[in-house]
Amino acid sequence: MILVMQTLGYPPSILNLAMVSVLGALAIFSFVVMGLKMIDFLDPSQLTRYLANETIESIKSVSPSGFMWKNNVIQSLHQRVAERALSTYQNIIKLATSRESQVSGIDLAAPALAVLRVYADAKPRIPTESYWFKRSYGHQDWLTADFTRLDLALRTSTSLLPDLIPNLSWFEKYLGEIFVMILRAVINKQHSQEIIELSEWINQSLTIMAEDFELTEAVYLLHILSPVVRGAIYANSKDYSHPGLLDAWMRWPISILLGFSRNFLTITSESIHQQMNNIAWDKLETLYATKMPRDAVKKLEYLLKTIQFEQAVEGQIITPLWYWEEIIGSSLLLSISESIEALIEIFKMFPTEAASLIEDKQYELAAAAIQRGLEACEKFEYHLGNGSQLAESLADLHRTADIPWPKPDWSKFKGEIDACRGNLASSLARVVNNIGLLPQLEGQPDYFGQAYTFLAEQSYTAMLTGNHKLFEQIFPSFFQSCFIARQRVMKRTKPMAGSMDAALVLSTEPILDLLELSGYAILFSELGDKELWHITNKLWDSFLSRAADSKIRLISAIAEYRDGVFGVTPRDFVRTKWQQTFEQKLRESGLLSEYGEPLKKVHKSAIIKIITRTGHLFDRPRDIFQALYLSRKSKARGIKWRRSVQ
Amino acid sequence: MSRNTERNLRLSQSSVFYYTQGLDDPVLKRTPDYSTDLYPSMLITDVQNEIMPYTLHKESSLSVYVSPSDPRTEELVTIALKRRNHASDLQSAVSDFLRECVQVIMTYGLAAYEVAYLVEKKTETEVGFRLSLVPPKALIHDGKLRQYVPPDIAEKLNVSQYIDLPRENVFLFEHPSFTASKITQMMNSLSLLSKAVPSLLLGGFSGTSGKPFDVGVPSPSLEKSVLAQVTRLIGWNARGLFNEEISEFYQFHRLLLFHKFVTELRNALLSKMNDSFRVAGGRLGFSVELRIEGLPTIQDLEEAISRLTAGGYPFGEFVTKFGA
Repeated sequence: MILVMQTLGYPPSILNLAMVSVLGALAIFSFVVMGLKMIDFLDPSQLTRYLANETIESIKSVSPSGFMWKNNVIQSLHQRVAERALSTYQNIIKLATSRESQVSGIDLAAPALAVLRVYADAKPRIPTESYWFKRSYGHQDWLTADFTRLDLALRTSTSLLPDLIPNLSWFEKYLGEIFVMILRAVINKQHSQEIIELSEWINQSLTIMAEDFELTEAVYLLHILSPVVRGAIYANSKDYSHPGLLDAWMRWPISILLGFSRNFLTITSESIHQQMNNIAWDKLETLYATKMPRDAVKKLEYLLKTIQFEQAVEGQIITPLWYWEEIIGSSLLLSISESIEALIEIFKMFPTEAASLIEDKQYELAAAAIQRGLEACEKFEYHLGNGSQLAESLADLHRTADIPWPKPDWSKFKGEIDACRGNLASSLARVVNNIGLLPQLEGQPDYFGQAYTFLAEQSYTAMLTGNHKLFEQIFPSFFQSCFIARQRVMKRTKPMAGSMDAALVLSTEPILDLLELSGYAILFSELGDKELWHITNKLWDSFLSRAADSKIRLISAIAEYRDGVFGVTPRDFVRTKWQQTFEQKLRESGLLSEYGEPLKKVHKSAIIKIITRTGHLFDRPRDIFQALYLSRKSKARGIKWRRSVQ
Repeated sequence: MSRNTERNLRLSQSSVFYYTQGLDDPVLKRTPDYSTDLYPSMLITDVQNEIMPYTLHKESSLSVYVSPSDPRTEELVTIALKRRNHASDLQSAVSDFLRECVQVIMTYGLAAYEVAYLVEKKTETEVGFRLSLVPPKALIHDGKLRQYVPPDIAEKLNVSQYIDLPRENVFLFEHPSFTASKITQMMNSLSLLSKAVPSLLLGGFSGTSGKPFDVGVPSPSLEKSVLAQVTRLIGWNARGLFNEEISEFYQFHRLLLFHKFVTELRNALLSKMNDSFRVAGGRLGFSVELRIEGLPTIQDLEEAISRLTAGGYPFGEFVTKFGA
């Protein structure tokens, strides 16, 4: 530049020199940046970031924040750009995972997960008819086509116009394949920290997707990722990372549930009214600002079409706001109901996987799966309550009796969750004693203890709800597990120097639980379900016929010892809760009085009459069991029973 | 009145009846005929069916009667209105008459009926009357009321080619004045829409992107939109042709508008019929008013539209009450 100036006869000034210096420095820095980018091209994880950024840009461009987002050509262009970027991403992952590579799976997955999150947020705002969604032809049937289409074809001597059907999940399919490749590579490397971290990221993504009503997409990801995890678990059962891997996998459906059910708390008839009120039908972006499931978005788009038609015909909108709210409320509720059904289907994987693991003799993994399953059922039941409240709130929008209004069958949903829980309880009963015999390793969760506690609770609940089939399935295992539990507690509490009393008390807890539940079996049988005592009696008969004569003496001694111990153990609280529930049941039946009032009903059973004689549950179920069963056994001869038993 | 009695009677009227359909006559061709076009013919049939509902069940609340009640007057009115030869009661006669009348009005914009008197051949006394349809298209209304008869038919019937009609005996049935011009315009548009294959439909199939079907394809909803716009005045839903494009609410809103249109038309026709009875009654010595009850009134329909807009009422209730 200075040379040119000199040639033209202009002497360079100090300003020219300064400018040339700045430009020179800029050129050097640009070269450095270019060099760094060249280095990035050698690092697959860096490369994937570029691709992810490009994809995110495309996603933003086809949602309302994008420039010319309504233009079909722009939508189609960005679809192709994103597809090409994702395809390249897949190729990079293939290369990076096909050889011995030190590239972290997390680094490879992070950009794709970021894309997934951005997409989860943006997708509900992309119009269903957008050319962002790839198209396929849906050809019409001449015999069922509507008249106008048929008439047009006849008048113009052409074939029927085909429908172009948008594929709403093409994007997730690409991303899903990327995740499958990465997850497989990470699992093969057996790097437990990476597995857990990746799984946690997937967890969060599934939650976000479900929260954005993209349940189908979340379920799709779950379905394609599950076989990878499942394959790893069954391929090498001795691998140390498996409990964590299984646990992470089992949390995925729970995350979907939790994400989805957050909507139960935010949607109300009022919020729908507000959202519908905020829509300006001539501004598409306001329509897509509503947070709705795709089916409801489709209804909104249908309403938009009808409103535009109405405006073209009448010059104004005739259909009132309440009608739109009713249509959207109905669609939303239907979508929620169908989603709950889909979630229930997913939750069936818990008992199925537990059963498979038991078959494969992976008892601890089975216990882990069961425990997650039980947690899932508990959470599901809780959120069903919220869902039911949401349905009640939306009912305010139902103004026209003959517009079909979805009626989610909440009791059926609850029944299916109960059945799932029952299956899990049965599986737990199958597995509890196998786990009990395994050594308990430091740093491992106490699967046996949890199983024992749950089975005790379920045995009681089965009696309370009159479900003797479930009782028959789980109580025999619980019976056996009580003695295993006692041995385990004794083994674990041995090193507790100077606290022999505590150790003794804790080791007697399972026996007290068993006596107490056996007592309840008598009481519930007296109240009507005779099968409960029949099952319990058979178990005790079988046990005592095999046991040494001293066994009854030991049981009697344990009960007597515990009567003399002052203080409350954690299991005492559980047993007290059982007692309160039982009293409540008697009170509801009129067999116990409230606050000294006379009894409303007198039961024909002598035992029930005796235990309710004071208006409260006077006798402890374990004493009743000892009095009515143990003390009458021939092996009990010579035992001096406590006064409460006598 | 039995057939034997009818044989002893002759009809005293100025107009002559002949079928105008299919006649290639330049004068008759001046009046547009919508009956052969798809959408107008559909509309005409629908209005015809709605003007007097077909009551197949006994629980129907529809009642047609003359006031003051008198069997002789009722018989006179029945004979005046009946369109078929076999014996019919007052309700059937009124229904047949209204259906015929409304078909002519919708097709040609106007229906002219002459009060023709039944004269006993022997005594030459007037014993009854009939409302005789002046052939559609043949009426010339240029200050005078005249009937045109094509030359060959005039020769065959031995009448003049232009017959002067007695103004006091001819009654013109037409749409209520506040809608008449708009209805004519609507029928013209419907006729055009039935025939039109716009050039864009034939030229629009070469898509710009080279795909077999693309942006160049005309939308069938365009035709539906035009159809809905054209029939907006009367709320005709074109037998559900554009149901997919409109909300159920708007569909019912239009349905009620259509019933309102039909009710207004029925009221106008009934009023004109009573006018003709007054003229005939003056000559034959009776005084009567024909009444129809059990059909929705304008007030019922306006109330129904308000209720529909306010919400909270099942759509089915409207269908049951006013028909789909």
